[in-house]
Amino acid sequence: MRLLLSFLFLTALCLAGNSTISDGNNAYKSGNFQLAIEKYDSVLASGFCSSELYYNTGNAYFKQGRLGYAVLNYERALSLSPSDEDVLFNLKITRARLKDNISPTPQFFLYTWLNSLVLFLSADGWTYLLMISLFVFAILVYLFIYASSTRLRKLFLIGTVSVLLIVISSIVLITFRYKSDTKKDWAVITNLIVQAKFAPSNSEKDVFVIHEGLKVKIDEVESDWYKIRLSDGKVGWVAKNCLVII
Amino acid sequence: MSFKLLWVNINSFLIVCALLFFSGASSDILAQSFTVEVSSKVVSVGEQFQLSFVLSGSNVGNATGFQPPSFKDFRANGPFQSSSFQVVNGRTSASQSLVYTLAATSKGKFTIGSASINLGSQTFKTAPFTIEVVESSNKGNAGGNAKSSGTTSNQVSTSQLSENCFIIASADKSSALVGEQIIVTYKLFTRMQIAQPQISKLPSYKGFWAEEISTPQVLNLQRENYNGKVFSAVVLKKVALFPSQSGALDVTPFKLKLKVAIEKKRKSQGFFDDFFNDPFFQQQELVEFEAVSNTVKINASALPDDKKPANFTNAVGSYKMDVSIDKQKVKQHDPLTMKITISGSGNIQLVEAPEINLPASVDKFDPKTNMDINRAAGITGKKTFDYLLVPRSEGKVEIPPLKFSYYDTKKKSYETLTSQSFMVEVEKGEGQFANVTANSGKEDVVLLNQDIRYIKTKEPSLQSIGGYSIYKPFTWMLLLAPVFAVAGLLFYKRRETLLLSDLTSLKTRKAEKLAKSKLKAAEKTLKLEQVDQFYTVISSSLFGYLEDKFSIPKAELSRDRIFDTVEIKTMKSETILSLRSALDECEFARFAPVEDKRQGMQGLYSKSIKLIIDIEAELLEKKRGMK
Repeated sequence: MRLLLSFLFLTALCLAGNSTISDGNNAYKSGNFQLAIEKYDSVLASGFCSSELYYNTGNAYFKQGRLGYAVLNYERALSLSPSDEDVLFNLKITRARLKDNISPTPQFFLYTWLNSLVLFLSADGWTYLLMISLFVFAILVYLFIYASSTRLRKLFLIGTVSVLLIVISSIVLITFRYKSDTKKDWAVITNLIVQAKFAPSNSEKDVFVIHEGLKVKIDEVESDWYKIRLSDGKVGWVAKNCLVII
Repeated sequence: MSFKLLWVNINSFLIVCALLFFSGASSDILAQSFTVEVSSKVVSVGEQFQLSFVLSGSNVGNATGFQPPSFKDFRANGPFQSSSFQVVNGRTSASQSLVYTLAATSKGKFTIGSASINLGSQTFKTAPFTIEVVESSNKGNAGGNAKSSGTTSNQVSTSQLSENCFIIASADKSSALVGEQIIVTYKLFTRMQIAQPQISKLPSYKGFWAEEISTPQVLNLQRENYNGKVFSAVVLKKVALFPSQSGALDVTPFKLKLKVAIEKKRKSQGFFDDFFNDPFFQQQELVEFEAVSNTVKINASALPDDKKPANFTNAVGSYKMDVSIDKQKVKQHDPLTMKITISGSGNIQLVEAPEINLPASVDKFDPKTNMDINRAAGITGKKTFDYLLVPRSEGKVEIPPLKFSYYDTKKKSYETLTSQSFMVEVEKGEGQFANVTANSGKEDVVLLNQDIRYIKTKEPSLQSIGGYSIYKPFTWMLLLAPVFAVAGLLFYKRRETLLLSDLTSLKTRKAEKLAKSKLKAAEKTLKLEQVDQFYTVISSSLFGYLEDKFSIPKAELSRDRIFDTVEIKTMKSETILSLRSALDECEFARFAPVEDKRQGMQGLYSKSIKLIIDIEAELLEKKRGMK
């Protein structure tokens, strides 16, 4: 009974969220991007999210010329559905307009390949894959045991083994994806111009200058400062309020 | 149509002819010249050489009053006159030569004064020049007429050859600083006729950074005095070296393989031989020879450490710097070009762009570098760096002066060049994105013109933030259900197969149970160690079992009757044997001593049990076989 009640409550919240989103979409249509952002943000503040919601928020920020927040929201949308073509396209458009064009240091090809595999589906996506492959596995095991001819038995055995491989790899990928999602070590620069320092202090010398919209990796945290690493390997300290974690 | 064209052509042809005529006439007067030419500036005593005075231009025939210089140190013959006339591109030119044949009488340097000639109202004079006369060597009079040179004997030693044909490598300085330019010249000296020169080994410039200096492609032998002898000499190779490290450095020899012509001299045997010994008839022999140059030793010393500027980057020589920008006023995000030109002589290749300390609001891109090197005499040239600067914020931006340091080899000190500073006015740019084309690739430019895709209006399925489906119990239910299903399936299958395949073992278990129940009384006596009773009981139990099994009437029961039954007869011999021995044992036990019987009890008991199981199994098998 309590479960049912809480379920109903959640559904109600969801519905309220959806109506707020359509309010935001209307505001976007009429060109009031600021209002759209406020509407979308209120849904996010109520503890709900979706890839589409982040995508729309990113679009509204882009239209306002706030590229840093646009990139941030697109990245968040991607973390929920990593292969969404619209998000990838808009992120590419936005990236082309950024001031920093840092080419990443090349990584070992196997690493990039594995990384893109992990990012191919969200944690939930990999979970669903595991679910489906387990069901198929069960069915194949049944068919294997009760196969009428040896030829069919052989066929089902091959099927079973390959599905078992999928099961194992999706378990591994769920763990990787879950870890990379919960690590929270990527951030987007939201200030227009940020001077990265040698050490966590304003009086230190500048190492490099970066601009809004750049995706950086967070290596360390110290009080109000983050130690960031650019994709080309440069390292510097920036104040916490200059960036937002994805 | 074609007629008209032809007409136009004839017309223009006439105009061209007229122009040529007038221009030719006007240039005639200017083209007059009177020069002196000598076949060789270095000669040996007694050697004949030619000296000609050449008057060229038009109407050279009108020249009068030729005044030759005095040839007091020479034996002179002449002058012989010759003239030539030619028309090139419709322009006539003529020349008249007065040729003397001279021979020096003593060695030394002699100046031949100027000759003069009158042409119309003008008097032309030649420039005086000097001729060097050296002692003639005993090995023929060398040089240009190589047929007369050579060896006097048929055997030609390598040392003799290398005395007459060698390469001298000379450096313009023997000690230099690191980065200082040294010019090394490889010169071939020969007193013999040479052919087919071929480079067999090029020098290696270890510890240097080398740059070839251009030399003429065609080797032109020039006469030269070397150690008082006349040689034909030619520059083979010229190279500019820049030491890259300090210490004593060697340049390995240059080796040139060539063929040297040597005369074969015959013994004089009368008039005919004298006649054939004339150079015209002399036989020549080509000898292969490798001319090797000396090793050039250079002492390189490190640049002084004191007063070395912080921004010094290995530039040595003498340089000039010029810095310019293409615009003083730009729009925000529009690029402007700053051009830095460094020119001079020295290790120009190693010159690096001076450091630019730009304000943070100006983006700088990697420079386009251009190098222009002149290799005529030593290495000179210029290097330009084109920087693309993009101001990102409006207002006035100061580009601070640039500093370029180098070591001046003439002044022997470090010099620092400082450029002027520039003020750039940056106006507010138009549009949000009308900017970054400068740092973007071609693909990005295309992307800049595109708008983002529209928002997604479909009602999204909201999920709570940070809520992974793996946290939900329902997910786990779905995940574990097939796992349990598979486990259950496997368990069930295993049980089923067990039941199916082990039917025989079930039967054995039954037979064992039967045997144990039959021998229950025997077991009792075994435990109580009632020796005599045990044997009686086991014997009667076995007989009882067989009686039941083969339905033998009690009255007929005897040992022989048992072994006569069909079932027993068809059994394996082992089983029959063990039955026989078990029954025998029971029989003998009656007469055996008590101690022996006690020991045999346990063995007999287990033997009997095995016997019953075996009989049961064989009967079962027989039953199956019958089916």
